[in-house]
Amino acid sequence: MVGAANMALVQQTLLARLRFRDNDGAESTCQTNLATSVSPASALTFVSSWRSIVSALSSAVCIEADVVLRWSETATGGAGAQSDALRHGVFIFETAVPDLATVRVPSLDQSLLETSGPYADIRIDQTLTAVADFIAALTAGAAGVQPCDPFENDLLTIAEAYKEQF
Amino acid sequence: MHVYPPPPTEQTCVLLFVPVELVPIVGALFGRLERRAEWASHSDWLQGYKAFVELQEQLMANCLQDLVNEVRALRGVKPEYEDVPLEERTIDMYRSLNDLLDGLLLLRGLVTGEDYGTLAELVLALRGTEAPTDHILLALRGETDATEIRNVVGLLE
Repeated sequence: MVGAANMALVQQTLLARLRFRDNDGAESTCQTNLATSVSPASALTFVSSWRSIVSALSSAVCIEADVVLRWSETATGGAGAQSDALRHGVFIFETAVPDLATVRVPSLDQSLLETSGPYADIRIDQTLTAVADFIAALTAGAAGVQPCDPFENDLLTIAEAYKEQF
Repeated sequence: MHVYPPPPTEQTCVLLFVPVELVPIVGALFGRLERRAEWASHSDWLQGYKAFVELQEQLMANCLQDLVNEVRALRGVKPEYEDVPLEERTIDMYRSLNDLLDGLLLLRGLVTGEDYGTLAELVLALRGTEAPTDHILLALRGETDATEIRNVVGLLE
């Protein structure tokens, strides 16, 4: 079986996070929580204001500000015996520019890999239903929303899919 | 933290042979350089992200095998090994370039049996006549214009 069944999602506090970088290139964050009743727009306003206040206390430079909307599963099944967070499925998409962009799936199930050919046990089998559904959700969109790359270019078609392993 | 380097004045690249079993690990290392935190500026990240995703795609392009297959297709498999599955064929099962040259020479030899014939003799054989014309030889050498080629085709008909 691929993946355990999901339970219900419960909203958690919003996370307001500022990322700082020092003169050696090392990074660390300053973060606080916001109540679930705070809207995303208000949270963004808070972070924008908070950024300059925190920066006044730090000799590092603020390079990024995030608002994280979080939900947690109420309960989870046990992870599979072969699961490994250091193994990913890497899906490489062509974008509208055209360019390439990736989306990674943690602990890719090994049964989704091709079993023959030069890339046996490395290339993800795109003919499998679960894989095809995943690709379609990213290229055609899901729930009326079209995903994009970090530079706001829509993901159009799948170019390649393989297993990476740290 | 990286600054995306400027390209050299003369664009070049490096051919790297990656054993296929290392593709997941090498791909993971390339994937690290997709992160914004790895790059000094947004512009560096923009270029670095694209470059390292493309490298990952190339890892899966199997280009070396494609090159081998192209060369093998050009050489052609020896008739006695045609039934051997592609993945089980070895280099000695394919014809050499000398085999191909011999084949061309044999084609010329069709005119005179065991002995190799000349181009003029081949033209004669095609026409079924003993009177070669300069037009036909020029056409075969690509030295005639369209009108002359039509004349030559007329002669061959």
